[in-house]
Amino acid sequence: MASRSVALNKRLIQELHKTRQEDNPALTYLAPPDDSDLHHWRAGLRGTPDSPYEGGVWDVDIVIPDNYPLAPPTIKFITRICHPNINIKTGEICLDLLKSEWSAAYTISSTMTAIQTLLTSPEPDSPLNVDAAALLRAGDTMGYESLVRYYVWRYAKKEEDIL
Amino acid sequence: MSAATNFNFSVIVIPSAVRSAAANLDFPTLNQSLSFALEVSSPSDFQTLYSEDTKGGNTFKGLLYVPDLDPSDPCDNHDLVPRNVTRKANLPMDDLKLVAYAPLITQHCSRQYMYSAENDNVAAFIFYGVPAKYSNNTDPLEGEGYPFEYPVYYLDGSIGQPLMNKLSEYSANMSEVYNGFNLTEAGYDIRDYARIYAVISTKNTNPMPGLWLFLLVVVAVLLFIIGASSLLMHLFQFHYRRSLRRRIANGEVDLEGLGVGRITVPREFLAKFPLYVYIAENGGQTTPPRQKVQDTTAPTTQPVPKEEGRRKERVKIPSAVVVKEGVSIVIPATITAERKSKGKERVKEKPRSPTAIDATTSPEMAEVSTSKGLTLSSPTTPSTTSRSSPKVQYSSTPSPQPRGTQTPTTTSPPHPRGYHQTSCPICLDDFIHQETTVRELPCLHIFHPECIDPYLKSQSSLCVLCKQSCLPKGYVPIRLTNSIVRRERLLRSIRERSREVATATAANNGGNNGEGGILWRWRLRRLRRQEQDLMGRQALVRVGRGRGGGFGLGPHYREQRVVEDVVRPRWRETMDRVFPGFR
Repeated sequence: MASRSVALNKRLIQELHKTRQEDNPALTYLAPPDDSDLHHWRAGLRGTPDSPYEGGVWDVDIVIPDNYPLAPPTIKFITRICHPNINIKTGEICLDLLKSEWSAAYTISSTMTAIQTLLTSPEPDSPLNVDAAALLRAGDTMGYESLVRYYVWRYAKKEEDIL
Repeated sequence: MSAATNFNFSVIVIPSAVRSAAANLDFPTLNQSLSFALEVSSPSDFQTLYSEDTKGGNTFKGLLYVPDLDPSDPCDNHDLVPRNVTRKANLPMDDLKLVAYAPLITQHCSRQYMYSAENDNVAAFIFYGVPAKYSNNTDPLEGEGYPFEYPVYYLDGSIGQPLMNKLSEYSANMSEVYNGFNLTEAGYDIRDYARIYAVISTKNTNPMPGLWLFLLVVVAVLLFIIGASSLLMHLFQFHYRRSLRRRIANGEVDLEGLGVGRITVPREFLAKFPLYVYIAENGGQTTPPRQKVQDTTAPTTQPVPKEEGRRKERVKIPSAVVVKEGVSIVIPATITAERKSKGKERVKEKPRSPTAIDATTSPEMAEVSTSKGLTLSSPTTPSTTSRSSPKVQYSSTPSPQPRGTQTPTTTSPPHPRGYHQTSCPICLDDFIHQETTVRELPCLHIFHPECIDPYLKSQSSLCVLCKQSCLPKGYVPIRLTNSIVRRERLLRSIRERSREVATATAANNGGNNGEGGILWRWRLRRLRRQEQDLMGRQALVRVGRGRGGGFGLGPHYREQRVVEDVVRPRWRETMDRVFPGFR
């Protein structure tokens, strides 16, 4: 177990270095909030440009399990976000990449990019936010987008505030 | 109710010496040519008037006699009943079973006869019909309840009256009975009794058992139908399972693509994946920096300064390795000269390790490099076929040769090709030219064995990078259940239908709008329904997983894949077990 945790820390440090070297355009920041705990990261996720999420920034909580990268990290939204596959209260994300389709070749940074992609390609057939999914399923794109924009305006951090 | 089927009258001889019924009427029957015998079996000749609580198949036996009536009783009609007919007094013993016999005159007379018979040891009562001038032909049982314990039968008059006359012939001793002279001549004792003996056979005609039997038959038929269809379905499912296994074995079905369970690689297969010493694509270019780094980092023991040193190294070398998710690395291999404690250990061991590897794994490698290597690497995706050519070339060489080339230490290249990958995608560590031992999967991706082995053993059989299965084609690692079969058939039918729809659409657009229209529309609708079914089920699984909370750690994570089977109620499971095809 000790050797594994050493390997895990090694990989996390590697990932951290890489995130410092190459900026992920989907993120405003990606780092452990506490330097002593490498298993807990935070990220600021940008809303996809040209989508109702544009301009918003959401804080995302990343908990890394002991058997990472064999098992996926646990990722939750801290900032409230309106999305069919994200629980509005707990911030839990329903994404197969974070469950069955996880691969050890994904890094935390690439996973965050995948979550950003999820924002613009929701899957209303397996919803965690039933109301948003119902709007999408009924074909009310305008209603769905205005709901999303409201939540962006009401809860998300604004990109211009950060810069 | 047990109805009579057969009346048999015959003459038996009771020896005068017998004074007890212990012999139980097991007396010899008189020779038929010398006496009299009558059998009534035509259903039109008799009726069963009453029989209660008697089981079917019974026979009632006894000596035939006419019960005594009060001499003043008008029923004692001597036109019908001869004076010398066999009476109770003419029978040898008191405790013999008797069958009473009387004409059916009036209801009153029947009653009188039956009450009289009640005092005797009567097994049954037979009435016979008489001409209308004597009788009003009423049912002897009409009116008050029937208080007697013996069954009552009715014989037709055309048989009954002659029988009554016969009965009068066998009432006296042997010399006086019909044909008595011949009988005594034949050797019968003159004091013996020759009497008419009646045997009434019955059969069960109770309507209630008939109903029960009918119900029983219906239930049995139903059970048989259920059992037969269950058996048939099981047979079909067995056939499907076998054919699926065969198709998996032939490589026609991708088991991983079915999304069933978690398939891992058993240890014995894992050991067959070759271990090589890593050779960079552009060979020796990396050696000088490695030496340098080895020198600089060797004395350091603390991890933090080493990290800093590594970062500096990284900055110096511009073309750093970039891992892109799910894509094999295409960046030219400039090995970054970074090292960690583990890497250092490996450096120290390395000069000896190739031989060690050779000693331990060379049989498997030899196996791999011959025919098995070809099947193991059997690439299905076009991207890997292009890449597999060096592999094939390599495996076509005789097996001792790579071993021979590998036995020398790191100075000579162990095998003639370089790898595109420069780092292990699991730990993100860079491979070191001619030092790192790497495990090559059938898809030709390489990893640190200590990184990939636990993953393949416990998590998945798919390559981390390209998601191609590492299991040999045709290997069926799990028990094929009916739900897997069903899933595969559903997926296949959807695939076939969509292809069909595509061709049909093309045909329809081509101008064939007439006859094919309805069939085509029906097929389309069916296809759509099946798709929805599948999507719905997948959604259920996904939602179930999502709500399950606590994403994926260890066994819990593994369980989430089979949620589909857990949410179903028990009766559905039983139903599925009995009828494995309904769903």
